[in-house]
Amino acid sequence: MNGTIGILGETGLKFFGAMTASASHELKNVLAIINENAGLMSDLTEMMIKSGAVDLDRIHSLAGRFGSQVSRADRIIRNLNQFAHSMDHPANEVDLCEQLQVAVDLTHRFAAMKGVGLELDLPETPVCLKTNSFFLHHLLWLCLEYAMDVSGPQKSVKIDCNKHSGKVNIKISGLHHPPNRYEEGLLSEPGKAVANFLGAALISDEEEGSVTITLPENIVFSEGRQL
Amino acid sequence: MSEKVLLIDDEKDFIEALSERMESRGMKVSSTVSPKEGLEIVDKETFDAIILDLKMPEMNGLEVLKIIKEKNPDLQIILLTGHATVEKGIEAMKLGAMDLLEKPIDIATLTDKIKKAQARKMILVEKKTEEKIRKIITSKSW
Repeated sequence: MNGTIGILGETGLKFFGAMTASASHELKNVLAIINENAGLMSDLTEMMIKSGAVDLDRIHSLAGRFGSQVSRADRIIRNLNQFAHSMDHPANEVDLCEQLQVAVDLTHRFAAMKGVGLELDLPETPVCLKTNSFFLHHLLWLCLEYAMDVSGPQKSVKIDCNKHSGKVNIKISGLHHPPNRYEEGLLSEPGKAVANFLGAALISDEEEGSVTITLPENIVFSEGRQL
Repeated sequence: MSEKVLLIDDEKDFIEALSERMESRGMKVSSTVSPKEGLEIVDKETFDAIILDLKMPEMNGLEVLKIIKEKNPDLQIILLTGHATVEKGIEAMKLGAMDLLEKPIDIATLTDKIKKAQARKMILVEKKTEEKIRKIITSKSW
């Protein structure tokens, strides 16, 4: 820490804010649905009391709606909690498959707003690495944000990962890079700063329409890269 | 007179429940999860109030509001949002929204706003009719 917030701190905070704002917004939508269905149940109960007829199917169907919204809220809060805990340690053992799932879930709402589908293709066995989980989330977000903007007419982005020769690779494909966009977008600050901090390399393949993030299996904090 | 309302929100479970509650309060409700379809419905039918979600895929609520107001400035639009901020409120009012309500909404408050929207629309329609009649009277030599 050098006393100033720096580019990592500044963009990291913005990213944290964007994710929590999006998750809280989605939670408000869940609450709105629960609120309307609770109101509807109350209306129906009043009508049933007046008429003396009980519509069990309606009550059952409303209970189902409550259940699905509670599951939805639980998933959002679980992801948000995991995301918040990504800041606990400068470096820790991460299961990349689990982290990618959380990253895609957190990005889901932004993707839906842009009409883009995110498809996660994960290996069956965990892909483990030691890294800074928060900045890995940040780098994934920067790459996914870029990918959503250049997803082309098919509007479908695929994410997969593997480990090879001590390196961990995350490939994001389904992109249609316009000329210079990669350099201007993903490789501009803060993308470079976050990748540099994690010791990651970003490789663009225009022909294939992909960006690959290559990370070391173990993060090394050299001088000037420490939090 | 029953109020005619259009609901536009991408959350299906939300509009289904809200529509039913509004109908049980005597309103005539049409609804859609697609803002683009909502614009098509507005082109074909008239409504006392349009309830519009601010954040939706395809188009956001402010874009939809702008298009509707350009076509029909008299339509009364109530925006719904997850987080109502002063900034959003000002932007919505500048574009001609009647009100901005935060989700989860209170049905009594919404019903009250819809009744006010209907009254406001009737005043605007009456004014326009009066103006038309005045124009006809002044332009004709009886």
